[in-house]
Amino acid sequence: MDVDGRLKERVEIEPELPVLRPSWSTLGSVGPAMIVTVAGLILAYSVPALEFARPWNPGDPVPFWNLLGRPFEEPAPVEEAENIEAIEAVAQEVLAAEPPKPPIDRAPQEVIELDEGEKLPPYVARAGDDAEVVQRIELFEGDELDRFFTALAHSDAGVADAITRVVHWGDSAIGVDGIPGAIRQRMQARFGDSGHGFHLMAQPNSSYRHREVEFSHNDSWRKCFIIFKCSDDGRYGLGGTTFRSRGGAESSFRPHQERSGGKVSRFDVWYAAQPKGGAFTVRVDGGERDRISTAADEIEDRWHTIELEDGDHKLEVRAAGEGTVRLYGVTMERSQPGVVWDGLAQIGAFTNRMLELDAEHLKAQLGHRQPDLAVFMFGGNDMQRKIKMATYEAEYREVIRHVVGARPEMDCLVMAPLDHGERVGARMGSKPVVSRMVAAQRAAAKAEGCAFFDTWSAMGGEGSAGRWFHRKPRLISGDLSHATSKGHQVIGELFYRALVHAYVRYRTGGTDEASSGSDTDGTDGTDGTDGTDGTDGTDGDVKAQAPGDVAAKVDDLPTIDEGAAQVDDRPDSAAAGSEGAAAKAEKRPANEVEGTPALGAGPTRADENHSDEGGGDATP
Amino acid sequence: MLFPTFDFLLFVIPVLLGFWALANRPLLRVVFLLGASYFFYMAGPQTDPVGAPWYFVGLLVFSTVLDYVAGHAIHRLEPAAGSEDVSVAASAKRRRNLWLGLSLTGNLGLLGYFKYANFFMAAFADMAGAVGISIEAYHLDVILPLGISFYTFQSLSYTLDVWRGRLTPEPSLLRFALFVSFFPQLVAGPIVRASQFLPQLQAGPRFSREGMETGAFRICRGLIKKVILGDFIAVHLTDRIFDSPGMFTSAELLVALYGYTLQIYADFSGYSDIAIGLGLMLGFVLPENFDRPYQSRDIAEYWRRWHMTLSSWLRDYLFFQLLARFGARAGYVAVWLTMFLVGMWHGASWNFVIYANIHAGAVVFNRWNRMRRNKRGQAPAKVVKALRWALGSAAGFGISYALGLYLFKLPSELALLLAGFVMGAFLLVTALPLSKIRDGRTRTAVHIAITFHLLVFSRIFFRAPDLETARSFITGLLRLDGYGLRPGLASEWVWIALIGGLAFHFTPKEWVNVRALAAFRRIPGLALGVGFLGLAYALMKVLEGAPRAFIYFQF
Repeated sequence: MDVDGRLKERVEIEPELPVLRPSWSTLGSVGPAMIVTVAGLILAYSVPALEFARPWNPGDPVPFWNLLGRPFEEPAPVEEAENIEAIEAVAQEVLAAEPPKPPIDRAPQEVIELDEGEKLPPYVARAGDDAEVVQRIELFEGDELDRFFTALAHSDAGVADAITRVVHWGDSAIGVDGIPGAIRQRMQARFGDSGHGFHLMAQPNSSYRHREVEFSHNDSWRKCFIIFKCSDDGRYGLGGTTFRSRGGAESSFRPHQERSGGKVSRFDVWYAAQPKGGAFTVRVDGGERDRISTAADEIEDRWHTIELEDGDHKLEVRAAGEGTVRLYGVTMERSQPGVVWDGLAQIGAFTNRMLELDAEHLKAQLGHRQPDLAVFMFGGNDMQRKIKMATYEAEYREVIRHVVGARPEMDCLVMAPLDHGERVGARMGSKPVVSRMVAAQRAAAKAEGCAFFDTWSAMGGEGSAGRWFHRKPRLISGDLSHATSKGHQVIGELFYRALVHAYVRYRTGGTDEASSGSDTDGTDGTDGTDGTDGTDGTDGDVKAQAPGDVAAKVDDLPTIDEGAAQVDDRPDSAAAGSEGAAAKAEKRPANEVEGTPALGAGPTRADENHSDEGGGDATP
Repeated sequence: MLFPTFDFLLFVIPVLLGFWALANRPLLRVVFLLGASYFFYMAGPQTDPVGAPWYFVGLLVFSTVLDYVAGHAIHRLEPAAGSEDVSVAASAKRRRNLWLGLSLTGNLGLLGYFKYANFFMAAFADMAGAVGISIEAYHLDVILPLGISFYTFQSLSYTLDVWRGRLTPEPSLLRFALFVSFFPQLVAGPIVRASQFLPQLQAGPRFSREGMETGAFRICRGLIKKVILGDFIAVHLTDRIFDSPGMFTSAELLVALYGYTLQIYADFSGYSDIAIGLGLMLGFVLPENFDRPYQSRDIAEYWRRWHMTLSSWLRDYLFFQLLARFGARAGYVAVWLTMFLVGMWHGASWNFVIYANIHAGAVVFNRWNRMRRNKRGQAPAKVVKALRWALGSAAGFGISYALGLYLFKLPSELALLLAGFVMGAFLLVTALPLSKIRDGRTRTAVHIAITFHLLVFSRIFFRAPDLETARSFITGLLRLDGYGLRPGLASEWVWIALIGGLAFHFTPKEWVNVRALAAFRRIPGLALGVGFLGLAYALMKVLEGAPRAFIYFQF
């Protein structure tokens, strides 16, 4: 045989030769080393102090497990297995679909004008509205999202200028705009594309990326990111990062042509005017530069708006000297009815970092943005804190009050964190803190009158990170905490289905005209059977949306002036008060309760306050 | 069973002691080692999700019996095949070929069914879809049996060598079964040929102090490679980046590629080290499988230093047969086909089709580049030469650009960039005379760097779970976004493992193979034992969480 194993001549199987057993000396240093190794092993199991060094402990899979007949993992209970199958079916459906395409423009003739007092056209079911829902939005009172749904209904009907805006804050779970992007894409495909929304002037860190925006900057902005508590005045802007420059810093924004609708008809540059403020320039499509001074007697938030013909446009913003400019970001919108979903990732943030935003500043920011819904998705970083869940829940409630208090007209929704897995031996389970944190967030959402989406249960609950990690393609990263881009799509789909399901019920009065699947079995997610696992004591507290409960909503959405009139029509069951509902009503100025805003003119919460439970001192 | 586990420790110590005790009892030692090997195979890797069930051992038995019977049948017909009676000879040859065909069909049929059937059906549906015919591909719900790609090739080498008259058949079924199932290399190589191992089994194990200590050294080395440079880097860096390349910057993607390039080498060669070490402690010599492959100066040399037992297997049983049958003119086709199969052996997906073609194309280019320099005769006129270069470069650039645009779905500017990189590398390799490589360190370094980066690039397709992810990875990589590395991307230990591991790979191999081994052998037994315990504890800590299967288990 030659050196690389090729045969030159026939190899004969030779007769056997005598073999000697290896002697002690043949073993060399290996013999004593093996004895020491075995002795060390015996010692580890005989000396309690050496427990830390034991390679196997009771509870681990037994050695040679599959030959000894012990199952590697207990099979999941039937109910859980069915749920896992349903999630898997959604995942397969999402992953089998063609790569996501940008939303299709609403045809101009579909846009309708709605006069005062005129009713919205009835709800028309669209493809996918009846998709099976794995995990529903939890509505504790039934009406937590009514104002948002009202706005959405106007966008759905194609009412001119009816743009439904959502501000979505969160930690790295929504970094790279993955989950918000997946939701945005679906919402815009369903309700209309009103633009990408908010984008920071630069990246607070390299995980901040919005793939739907062609964005560049020259790395000359000085950044102050909220997680570092670097601003004394709490003016971080809507996106949580302030950018300063004395000149030379530059950023450009353009809707991505393949990954988004590729069009924009309005840019808003968000900035602070301040004493000795410098100037910045804006330029659209390489044209003339407009110069904007940011000098003012007192610091205040301002916006420079550029209206354009709907199309592909590029905006360049440049710090032009004369002092320091302080900018927050840029919004990109379109004038057609639809949805804008702002991804406002605060990567690395604890939930309570939102409290760093100055209240007046936040009010101004939200006042300009006019969102209909605030979504919170925090918790991933808080899991590493040594904090009691009661304290965490109180913190979360304070955050919700802080944000929603800055714009009482908007609804709120808490999305639970993703499952965070850990490896124990060969198994991958959920960190024990996850279920406790989900319960705390659910309790906070309920107490503050927010809707709740149990992302953790939607993923499959206990052990889901491990399952998502092991499936092909993976839906969660190797750290068992962050979803992969495919995982984002699956979560986006799960959430979207839940939201559309709740919206359809709102429009149809819960008659399930368009809904199917698990909806028909009576376990609609609002009965405590799903999501409310008893960990937070909310079993049964969640109100079922029986068809009659919201009958007033059927085909009879509030019109410009009807909102207040409808207040008294609403059935008691849907308006049963709660601490959260009362808190919301209390916070809302009286004139806002009575004078329901035009497009957010759903049944207001004012009527909730005649409930026995809620304490009705905010009754109008 | 996985090597770096407590299960394996509980398994291997009694097996070593038992085999040493029975070493002078020919039948008992074979029965003992055969039983241990089957036990090892059936006690599948303790991974989550679980692998193939224990009764898949039946496939191993099937393959063993098939080749044992076929080998003997072929050998029995050999005299008749050489008969002067033409009809007798023709009949015997036909029957010999029939037995060979049966063995090939049986072994490759199993491999095809379990490993490639789903891909072939999906590929057929994809191609039909490309021409407008919508077909839903049928999907077989099969689990890949552990080590099937290894033991089928190993078993086939026996039948092929007997058929070629290069090997006399093994008389003992037990010994033959042990050859097929020898546990150190059963599930992830090296692929040991019958001609290499059956004579050793027949002659019996040969023990020596040097063999024992070298074996222990190879096992320690393999464990460190596998756990620290393989698993540790995978869990803490490369896996999460490859899972979602769109979430990472160009620099981070590049780091992940370097990380994976190191990881896969450490994983696979670590396993081979452990296998070879165990073989030595059991008194047998297994062939080397790796020889610092990333030090290769060209792609052909790389395949002589990476998974050497697979590439030499295909070279001997396929490449040389093709050359012998079709002559040197079929050289390029034979090279391409051999390298394509080497690539496809690793996996069944469109990604592996691309991976295989990248390597096959590079080896074909390498062959052309070598052969054009060896050609004698009148050089063409300068104008003709320049024209050839210009046309060749333009064609290469155009093909690379088109691949970037249509296969990788890159934006045109990135496709141009990719084509620029590819053609730049090819022109550089072509312009630097290979014959003079040894003359200059700079030239050697340039060739090593280009070869290394070709390998690094091809790893995208090797590791990405699907074509879409691979495209996303390439797009992110070529975007050159300049965002750098995020703080906290990986711990300092990961960086140390990554940079240290890559740097170490490029050191002279004598540092480890000679000096470190000599130092290891000087360690007193008791101290070595304490060292083993320390190493076991350290690896246990590093492995906290799930031990990962060897990457090559899936092949």
